Formats: sequence, C-alpha cells, structure tokens
Amino acid sequence: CATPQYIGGEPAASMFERVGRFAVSADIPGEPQQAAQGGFAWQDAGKVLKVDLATPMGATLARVQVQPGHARLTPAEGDEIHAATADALLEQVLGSPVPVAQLRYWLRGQLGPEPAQEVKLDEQKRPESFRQEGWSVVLSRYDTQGPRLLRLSRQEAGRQISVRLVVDASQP
Amino acid sequence: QDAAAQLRHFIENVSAASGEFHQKSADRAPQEGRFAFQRPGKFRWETTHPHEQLIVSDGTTVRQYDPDLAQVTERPANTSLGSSPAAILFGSGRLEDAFTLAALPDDDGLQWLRATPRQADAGFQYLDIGLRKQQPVRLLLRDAFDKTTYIELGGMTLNPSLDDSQFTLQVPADADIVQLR
Repeated sequence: CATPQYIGGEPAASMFERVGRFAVSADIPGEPQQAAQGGFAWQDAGKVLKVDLATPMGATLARVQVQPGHARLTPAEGDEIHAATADALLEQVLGSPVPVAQLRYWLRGQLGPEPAQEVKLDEQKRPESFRQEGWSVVLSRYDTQGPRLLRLSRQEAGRQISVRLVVDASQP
Repeated sequence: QDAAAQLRHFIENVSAASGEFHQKSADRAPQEGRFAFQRPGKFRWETTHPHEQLIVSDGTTVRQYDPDLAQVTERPANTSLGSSPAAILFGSGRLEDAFTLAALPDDDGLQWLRATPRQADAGFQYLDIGLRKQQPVRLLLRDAFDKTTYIELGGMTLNPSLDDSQFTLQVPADADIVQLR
C-alpha cells in the first residue's frame, strides 16, 4: 500500500504530528517583557523530535531537532545552537523556558513520567488540569489525537512565564 | 511587459488595494483571508480560515493578534518590514534597494520574477511573484529550509479609500499585550 507521505522523515510507527501556533511570554517586573509568537510544526517520531517554528506568512524561522541527550536549533540565518536538552535550548533562544520534554506527553493528552499534583480529569478521563515539573497546565479542546489548546504557566524567581499552544483545526 | 516592469508599475500606480488571499504550504492546512495595504507601510493581513489571526501595521507598529492565544504582540514596523515578503507588495521606495530581481519564464499565463533579498538575514531564500495585467496574482515563498508557501491573491480592488481603522487593532480585554524583542 502507498506509504503515507511524511514531511521529510521516513515513516515511523508512532509518528505524532501536530501543526499550530504558539505564544511564549515571560514578564519580569521592571524589565521589558520577552516574548515570541509564531507557527509550529511538531513531529515526534519517538527517538527524534523535530519542531519547525515559522512566521504567519509561512517562512520557517528555526528548526529544533531533539535526540536523547542532544538538542540542536538551526536558525534560518546564522549558526546552529546546541544544548543537552531542548528546554535549555529554547530558554537560550526565546529567553524563557519551554517544557519541550513534557510537551511530548502533554500534546498527546498524557501526563509526563514525573509525579503530577492536583490532577483533574475531564468526563472522558483525559487530563484537564494539573501541576507537573513546576508548570501549571490546562489542556482543552481535545480531538482524537490530544488537546488542541494547551495553556502552561510558571512562577519562577519573580518571573511569570506563560506558554500557549493552539493546534490548527483541520490537519492537511 | 515583463514581470519587473509590471511590478514597478504596480508599486508606482497602486498606492492602496484590498483583496483576498489563499495560502498553502506542505505542512499546514490551507489558510485564507483578506488583505489590504496603503503605501507606505500600512497593511492588514487577516487570516479567517481555518483559524483567526490578524496582522496590521499602521506604518509605525506592527501588531499581531491571535484570539486563540489571546495575545497581541507589537514590534516596530521599520525593523520588521525591511526585506520581508510583505515589503515587496506593501512597501514603497525602490524595490531594488532590498532585493535583486531576476526574470523567470512565463508560466500558467503569468509573467514571473524572482526577488532575492540582498540582506543576508532576511530569513527566506527568495519570493517568486507571478503577475498579470500589472497585478501580483501568485506568490511562491521559498524559506531557508527549502519549504515552499504558495499565496494566491484575488478579488483585488485598486486604490480604494481605506479607513485608518483597517490598519489598527483594538486590543480585546482578555488579551495581553507583549512587545517583541
């Protein structure tokens, strides 16, 4: 049978793909707010995670690739940036942490492996809100693959950090 | 007339326009919406399907509002337009300052040119523009990762009188405003 057309990756049994928009903002009292907003294309093939960040008019700004123990960001222009984890990488680039490792679970509507607190489930027993790894997480607008609206917030050293992801409704 | 001449004519003679756009790329569902611009520097890019997103510039500040994200981002207009795809259609001044223009073969009833940004950090490789009767009809944006976005422009009204409210944004109460670095 025809192999489904994957974007640039070989077909993987557990390929989880999501496309949508993100907004990250960290307001630090007394400092100009740091923020980023744009589109994302998320491809999680288990071992390798690839996330493309794009402008509204479609131009890819940067590509993040994560393997166990290594994360790399390739910007549209300029040199690559490397870090041990994607979380550290994005903190360096966006100025505020983005829990990429956890999002691999949260985007599928699952809790991460670490302990979670104050877990509330919706009527279909899917995680609706909880605290995990220092983040307060609200998941909503579920479809068959997972939540389509993720609102994350974190209070850390006097900074209020907000990460919001919305998954586009109709997939290609 | 070749594409470059048509585009120059468009920039010089169409000081404002409004219309619709249809946007397609490999990894994203097709999007559509409305656009408007008023030279120099005022433009509106309003996605209506499958989600809502509004980008407006009043020539001084570019504001982007996404109701799902409940956030408005603001950044200075001059730094962002520069050699962005929007600059080609909505900007003013000499296109050749920011881009090199090269003719391409006619295709699908349109005359084509390739605009390659002179600035290294423009963030995209080139923008192909297909014109007919001195109007841009189709755009092909090739980004730095060889991803292509196709944009069709249609239903264009030339030189309408556009109210300034088209290029400003009333920030909804529930949205927070964020300055981009």
